[in-house]
Amino acid sequence: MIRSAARPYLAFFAARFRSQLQYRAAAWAGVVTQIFFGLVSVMVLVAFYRAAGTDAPLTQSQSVSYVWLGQALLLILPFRLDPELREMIQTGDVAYELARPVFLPLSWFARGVADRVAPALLRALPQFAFSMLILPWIGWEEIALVPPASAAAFGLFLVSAVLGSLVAAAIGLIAAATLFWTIAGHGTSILVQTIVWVLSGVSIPLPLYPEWFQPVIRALPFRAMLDTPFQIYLGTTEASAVGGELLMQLFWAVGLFVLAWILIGRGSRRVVVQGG
Amino acid sequence: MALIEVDSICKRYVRRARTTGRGAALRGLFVREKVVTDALSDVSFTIEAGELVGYIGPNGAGKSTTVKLLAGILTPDSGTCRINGLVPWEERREHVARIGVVFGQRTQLWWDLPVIESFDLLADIYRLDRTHYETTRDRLIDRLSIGPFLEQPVRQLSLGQRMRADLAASLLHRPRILFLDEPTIGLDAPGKLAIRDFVRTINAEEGVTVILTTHDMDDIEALSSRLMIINSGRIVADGAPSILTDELARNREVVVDVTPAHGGEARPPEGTLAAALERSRTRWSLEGGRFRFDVDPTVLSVPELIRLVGEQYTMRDISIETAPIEEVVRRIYARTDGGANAPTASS
Repeated sequence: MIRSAARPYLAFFAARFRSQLQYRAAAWAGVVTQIFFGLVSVMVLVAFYRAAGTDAPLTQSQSVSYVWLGQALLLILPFRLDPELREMIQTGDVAYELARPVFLPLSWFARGVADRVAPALLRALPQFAFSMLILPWIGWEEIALVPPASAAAFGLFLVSAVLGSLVAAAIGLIAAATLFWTIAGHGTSILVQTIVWVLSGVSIPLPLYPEWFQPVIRALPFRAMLDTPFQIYLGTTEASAVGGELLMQLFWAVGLFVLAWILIGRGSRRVVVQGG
Repeated sequence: MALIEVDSICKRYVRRARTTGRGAALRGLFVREKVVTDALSDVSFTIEAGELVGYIGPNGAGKSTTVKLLAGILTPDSGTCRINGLVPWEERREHVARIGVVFGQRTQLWWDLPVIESFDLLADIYRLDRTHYETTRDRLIDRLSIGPFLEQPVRQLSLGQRMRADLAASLLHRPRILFLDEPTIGLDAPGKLAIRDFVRTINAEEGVTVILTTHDMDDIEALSSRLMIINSGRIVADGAPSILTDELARNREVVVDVTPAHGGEARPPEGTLAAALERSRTRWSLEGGRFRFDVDPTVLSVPELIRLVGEQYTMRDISIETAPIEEVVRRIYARTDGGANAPTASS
């Protein structure tokens, strides 16, 4: 019964996943770029650590590893609006999507999850190999990715990264749904990019933000995309707290999806009522 | 009860207009003017199971709006509609699971995936039983000759191939009703023939009810047993295709390029030609040596017209065309009571 209900959405996911895997050349180019940016960030961090002394919330090698994880899983983040959704919403073609017997927000969500998981997977493996194996091998242990805190931590990291992709897909869906009201979508794009850049931890590891800012970070959903899995990987989230963190991710994923669902419902009704 | 019952449906689009003139940009910040277009005004019809209905009209007449309403993806402002006993826009998901829709301007296939994978996906989306699906799919592949490009990504297909694949995709779940919105648009002659043949077959052999919108007079002649003509959101004629072919589509547009017998500007017709034009009430124009005659061949035959033109002028080129659909619809409209409240321009 559940399997039959989920069948269309799993199919949407699978279709998009397979389409995304076709872009191998883009993935390799991305790997090179991200390794370059990773190296720059890591070197800046190391310079700060040398100047700042020792009482940071993360050790130097934890910070460095955090940055490498961020580069490896960068594409989970909802940096850009899905161009196909954008066009569909802007032209009113979204109406045609309703000609299929599916629940639209969920099929779009499934597609969004595939859009994050597939490219991240393609890029993550070579990047892990570089930052965890090649860097120590050429004698640069200082800026290498440390292995996960434990085998269990690695397993939970994977679970958390998948949940993080769901949160990111929901945020991407909300961003796309705003297109029903704005026309160009540039504003939304820039706003989302900026917020994600600052608050996801991909530019500066979130634990390094000042003490007074931490409650803000914890109150917002953006850390649930990357920071939560990374801290599980590094072991900076205590084992007893991991369950709560995963539940928190699930909460954000479901809550934000419901918000996206409401927005899409309202927005598509505009299209359906006003004509396409 | 008829399969499709549409009763006094009205649909109006409200669009925000940009004002022009001095200060318009500033005014636009505070006041938005609205432009209202009546896409459909009081449209009613019924369609019985097994019919093949051609739904025609000029661009912007309301054809696509009607199809979108019947397909459950638009909501009307007023009026009712029942298809298979369901109200399309209220019970959308149940409704669309039982109908097939092809929009000629769009594809419902996945651009990046091979055709066969798109089909498999649709089987999942419609939750089809695997063995039934495979039987239906293989028959459609065979009938529409999709086999040769089954493994190609949709983006690599020609328009004709894509349209055949889209037709197959719309029938995988074995709907009893098929809506085709401009299925032959942009296709070459063999492409159109293949689509027409197939549509005729599924209607005749499998009893699928087909509603087809088109611009193409040949589609209508080849396919429909019934025509509905819409203009400016109103149904202006509904009946056998003969309503078009018998008396309205018969007019020919004859264009003749002439050189005046004695040099200089071509002078207006005189003598027998002028008399014949007068008698047959043929509308004509002459501009820069080019005649355009809108002639009814049952009153004045085209060969006779050309012979008369030849008596007075030296002809350089001749072309003869059937009237475009817009012209035919305009005539029907002028003939029906629509003339009383003439249509205002609509989108």
